Amino acid sequence: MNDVDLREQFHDWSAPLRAVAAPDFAGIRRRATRRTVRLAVMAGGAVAAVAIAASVAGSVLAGTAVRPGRVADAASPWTLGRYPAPRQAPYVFINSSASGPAIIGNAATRIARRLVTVGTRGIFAAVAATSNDRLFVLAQQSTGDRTTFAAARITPSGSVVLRRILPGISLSGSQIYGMTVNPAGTRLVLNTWPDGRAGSGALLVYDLPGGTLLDSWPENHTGTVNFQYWPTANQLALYWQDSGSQAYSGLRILNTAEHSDGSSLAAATRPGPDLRGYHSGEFTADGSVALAAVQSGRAEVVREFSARSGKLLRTIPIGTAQAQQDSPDFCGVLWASPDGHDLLTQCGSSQQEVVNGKITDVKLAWTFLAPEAPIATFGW
Amino acid sequence: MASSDDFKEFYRVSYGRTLATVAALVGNRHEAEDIAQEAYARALARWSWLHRFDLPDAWVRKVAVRLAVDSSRRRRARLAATLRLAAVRQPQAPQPDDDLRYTPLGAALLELPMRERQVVVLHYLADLPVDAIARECGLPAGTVKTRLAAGRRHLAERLAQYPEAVS
Repeated sequence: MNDVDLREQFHDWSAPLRAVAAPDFAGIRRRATRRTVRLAVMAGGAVAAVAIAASVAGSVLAGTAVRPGRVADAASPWTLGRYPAPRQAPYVFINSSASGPAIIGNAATRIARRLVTVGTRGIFAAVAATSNDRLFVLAQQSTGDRTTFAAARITPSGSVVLRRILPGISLSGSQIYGMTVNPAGTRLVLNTWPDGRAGSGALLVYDLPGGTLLDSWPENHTGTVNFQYWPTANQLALYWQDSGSQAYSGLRILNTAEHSDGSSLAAATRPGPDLRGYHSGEFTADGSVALAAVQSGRAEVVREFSARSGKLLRTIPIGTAQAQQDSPDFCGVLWASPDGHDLLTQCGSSQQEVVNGKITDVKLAWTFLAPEAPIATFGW
Repeated sequence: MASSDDFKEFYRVSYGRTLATVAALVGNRHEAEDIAQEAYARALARWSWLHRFDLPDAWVRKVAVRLAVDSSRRRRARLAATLRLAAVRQPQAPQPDDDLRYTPLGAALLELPMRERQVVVLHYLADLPVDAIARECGLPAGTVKTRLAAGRRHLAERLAQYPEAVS
């Protein structure tokens, strides 16, 4: 039996199946809806639980909540609750699909509050969270290319106040490729690029909540800036993939306190530490550690580098490359403590907490989908 | 912007191919239909970005194959539990109308270990070259070739037991 014979046998065997008509589309839609509901931790229960959420979230923040099923000692960085969640940042923004409902959830209790649904005529383009866990900024893009922004503030009592912000910004014809907020929640940075890649992009810095454009850097060099963060109040880290000369590839630092005076983004940035293989990740809030999720052989690992010297500090296995390749789920660091000692990671269906290098498998309140630009799926 | 009509057309055109691939892996049409529909439901939930891919059916196939492999693992676990209870259970009668294993190729396929079955099905039924299978399964190309050769040899041995299936 040769290859051609075998291929013919498969063809004949599968012919009746290939001819099967697709079942009613409504059934697929119902399945998709049910799945979305499961993933999003539905608002119905969440709405009913808002009052509970406010009280529980408040007490959790105060460190007084005691829930069964999980015991944490006094030195634990995790909130006492059913699910592991950082004491400093129990709140997380999630949207399970481009047009599905966005929620802010308490990661320790899995109690979620529905924020807003953009419906079928728009998508969530980006989300940014401040490290103080009190402000989430959402960008929503309509089919007419109109982008609107909303700020979700968490009050001391744990309730969420959603407000439209930045009314003056118009991003018609542009896509957001990155968005970040400084730790104090007073600056918003957008990385935009025209639809269809014609023309040049820009890095834009606005004040919050007023929305005044403070500065801009034209991005006319080849390649893309994939990643931004504020390790300190005025410094912005950009991971640059230079598709031209490669001269600018790597991690670059922009001091936004120095005015652009018309200079390009490439000219205004300086090289950062050499973090080879760094394709995604973040800095810790204190700016001391860079966390990079990379593939190493058949494993997915998180590498921690000194942000100052580029020295590799430690490597943490978080999953298999195959599990990630087959999965639409996020693979990398979900949350990091300010100094990088404590992490929550996910790779496919595997989730872990890392406390001072000790790795423990955990089941978090949600499985997080990988963000697909320009669609944000979570912010923590 | 992705539209519902785009998805419906994609679903209508590609469903049969996906169903056939899954059925070859799990050997049961009803289970294959459930898995295929689950894969399309996941695709629908992400259609706004999935439609930008050149080949969204490759994403659906990858998800469906993964679900089929998972389903097979769960079935093995269930089978182990069933065998432990065999003394108190009546054997189930075979259901030829439902079960694709009652064809020579279907029976031979299901005797292959899943790691070989997967690459054989992707190569001979989904018409994927070795390098594409390697990418889709996250395996080195050499491993795919080895499994393909072993799967082909084992398949030929088993099909030889059904003279009418061998040309």
